[in-house]
Amino acid sequence: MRPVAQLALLVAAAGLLGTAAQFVSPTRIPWRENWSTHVQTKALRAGLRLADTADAQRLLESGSALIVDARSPRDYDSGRLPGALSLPDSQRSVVYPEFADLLTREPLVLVYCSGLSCDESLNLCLFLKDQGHTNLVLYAGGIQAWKEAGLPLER
Amino acid sequence: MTHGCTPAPWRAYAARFMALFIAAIFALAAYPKLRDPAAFSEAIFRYQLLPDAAINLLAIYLPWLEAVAALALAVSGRFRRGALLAVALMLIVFIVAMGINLYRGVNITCGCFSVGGRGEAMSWLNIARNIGLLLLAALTWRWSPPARAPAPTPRARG
Repeated sequence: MRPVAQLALLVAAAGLLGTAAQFVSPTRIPWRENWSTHVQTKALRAGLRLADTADAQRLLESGSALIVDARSPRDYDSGRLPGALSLPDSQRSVVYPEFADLLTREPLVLVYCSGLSCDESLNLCLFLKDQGHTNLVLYAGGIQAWKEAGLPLER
Repeated sequence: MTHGCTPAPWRAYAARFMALFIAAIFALAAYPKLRDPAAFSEAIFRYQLLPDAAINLLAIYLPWLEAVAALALAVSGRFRRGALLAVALMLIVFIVAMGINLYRGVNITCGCFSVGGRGEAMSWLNIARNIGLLLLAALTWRWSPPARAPAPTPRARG
């Protein structure tokens, strides 16, 4: 039997087993899930406050919140919410000490990343919450929602 | 690859050993994903590469392909090349997915051998490891005897 035919048989076997497991396994997952609400659902379960785009715009324009960008420096440089501070989730342990006092002094800290398919902002919020910060607000819609609302980015 | 050419016996034994090694790696990788597909689907979500509709499907079927390929490599010489093809294709996909996210600077766990949030953080070492496995799979292919070795050519006497 040719290798490609063998591969096809193995893929078919995996397909059958995976399908069967979906009917009998106690740990089965839904065939399809609404991942666009995943970050918000986890955030609410963790007791975090959520902001939508209107909230984020109001907080930014009133200057009543520190805006924190949880994305990589590369993404931050390519466009960010006006006045946002870069605190990449990937480097949080290293960068956080520089901003710890500032984060504590601010009445509110709005954290965002690229959008609903990104959980860096959630992970950063959870990290900051573990450090004792209680003034956190998660803007789950992030850059994507900001742009869809026609709002300007800073570069 | 020379079609129909039987490799030296020691290479055939080495290929068997390498196939078993790759089988063990993939079995170890499949196990936590089969135990906790919900956590694996979350690991896939974090890669930010797939549409919502594909995430759970991949979480359901990929671990079974890993397990089936591992089994085929471990117990069946007949399906070895097909399993090596499956392994190579999966490794290429993993390398590309990891490479994209490392380039993006996205901080996620690899999801290679554990699926919880405290799994190994992704790094270029993960990619290097997968490239090494890919090369091993290629060598195993090269040294594996064909499914049906040609009948030996009778020697002329005289």
